[in-house]
Amino acid sequence: MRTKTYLFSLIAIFCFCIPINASAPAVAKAVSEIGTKAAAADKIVAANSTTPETSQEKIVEPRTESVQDTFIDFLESTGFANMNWGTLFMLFIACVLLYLAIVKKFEPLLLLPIAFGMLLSNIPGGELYHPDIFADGKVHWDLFRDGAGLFDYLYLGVKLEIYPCLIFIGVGAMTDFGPMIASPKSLILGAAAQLGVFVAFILAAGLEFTLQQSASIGIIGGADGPTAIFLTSKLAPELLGPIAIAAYSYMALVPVIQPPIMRLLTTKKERGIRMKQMRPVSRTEKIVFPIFASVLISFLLPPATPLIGCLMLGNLMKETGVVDRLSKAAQNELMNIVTIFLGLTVGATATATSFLNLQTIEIMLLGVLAFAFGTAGGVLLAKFMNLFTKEKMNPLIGSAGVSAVPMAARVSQVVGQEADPCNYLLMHAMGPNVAGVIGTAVAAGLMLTMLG
Amino acid sequence: MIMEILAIEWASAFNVIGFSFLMVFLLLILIVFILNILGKFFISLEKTAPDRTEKETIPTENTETEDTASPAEEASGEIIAAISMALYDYFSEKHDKESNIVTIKKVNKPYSPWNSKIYGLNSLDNLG
Repeated sequence: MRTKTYLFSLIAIFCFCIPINASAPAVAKAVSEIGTKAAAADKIVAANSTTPETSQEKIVEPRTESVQDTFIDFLESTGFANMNWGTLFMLFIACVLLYLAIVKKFEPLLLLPIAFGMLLSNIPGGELYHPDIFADGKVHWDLFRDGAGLFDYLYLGVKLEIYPCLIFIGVGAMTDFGPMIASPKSLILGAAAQLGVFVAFILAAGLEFTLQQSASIGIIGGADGPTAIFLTSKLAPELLGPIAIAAYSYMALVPVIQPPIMRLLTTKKERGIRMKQMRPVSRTEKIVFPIFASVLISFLLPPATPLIGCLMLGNLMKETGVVDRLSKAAQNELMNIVTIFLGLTVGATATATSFLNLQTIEIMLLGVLAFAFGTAGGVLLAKFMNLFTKEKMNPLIGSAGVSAVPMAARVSQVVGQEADPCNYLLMHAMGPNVAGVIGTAVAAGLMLTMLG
Repeated sequence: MIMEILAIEWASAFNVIGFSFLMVFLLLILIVFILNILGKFFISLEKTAPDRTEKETIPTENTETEDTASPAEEASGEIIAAISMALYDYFSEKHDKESNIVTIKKVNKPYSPWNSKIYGLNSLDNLG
């Protein structure tokens, strides 16, 4: 109820501002006419005064002119005077995203700061974010010195690839690679789920996006926000706003997008397959894995080192148990602070000029397709592997290769329980789920190598 | 000219996709292979470790409980499933199912001279 009141108030304010904006020039003109008439009257009085010498020496500016100028300047400096329909529409979209985050709880941890960053950035005259400073994919330090706003300073964390890596430290500290280590073939399902990335890449290239832009759009299919932001800020920073919004919105829609595809591609018998209990994983294995994975992947794919390295650092801090304070700080304080800054600045890039165009709609559509194909890829590969393995795996866990941790694993559990209420797939699905995080980071590293 | 440009772009696009997809699979298959080897290595380590401890300790009546690791680490899947089932039965409280509807029933007390206030109150007329 309160949210409806706030939304209604916002809409009412905007409707009130439109006539003010429209009439601001007329008001300014009326004020200036009054001012000139008053000035003319004062001059007549001064000319008819009994002391002509004093009237020539003491020519004092009439007070009404300065008040008039000040008032006009004030009116022209307000956001209302500089508003246009594009600005209004972006503010409306920001309010819609706030509604989705607060009321519908669509990934609120990121969607709320993104939406609010969009709201603040699109207020005319706020001077919080200047796209010119980051034009052409680089930082123009001269423009930075002259007049950078708050979000320009915060955006440096995105531009210099700091925030995604710090978030990955927190993600690693919250991830348990145990199910993946216990069942290594789930890594292959994580690789198959990257099909969505490459299908979206091809489709985007067909829609006349450049290869760099296509790669940035394709990575939405990896369902990994920090990786998408990391890659997009390097390859196609002009698309960062719509890509980030698409990625996080669709991650929240995983429970809506995936189940129909999973049911379409599997039979009820396949959905009811019960999997064997996984072997226990020792603490030593969980400590060795992040070290060797970091070294191996970084040697083979150096551009993926920041992401993979930070992910495995966070995981190592958690698994060793000797730096509990650091692990907790990574999971809580670090993640929360960086999430706020990242969300605000990513939302700030969604200005009217960058967002309100046909490309944004194409990105949104391609994002859905990327998710769909990623889900299908994982499920189909699991079915294919069942042809050759003795121990059948439930193909539903293949859809969890889309690395929306742990939402995608939960979706596999829920859909599996529709076929068999006593079938617990959650931990089996966590293997492909965390493998998908590695797979997406590897895919991003490869595209950086080839297109960066 | 336009077709040539498009042809070049498509060739690059398919090149990127094909190579990337293949490399993702190859890299992760390599990690699978290494994990399998590591897994077998650590499993063999765990199997040999209890053998050494059994030879070194003095056999007592409580050897099995003292030398084993914590129950959570050694409990097999079947034991965990049995415990889960027992907990489920316990919390589901298998007994006669009650309706869980609690009502306050009004007790209707029909009129009776013994309950009547008129006969219970002192008569003030007598005092005057």
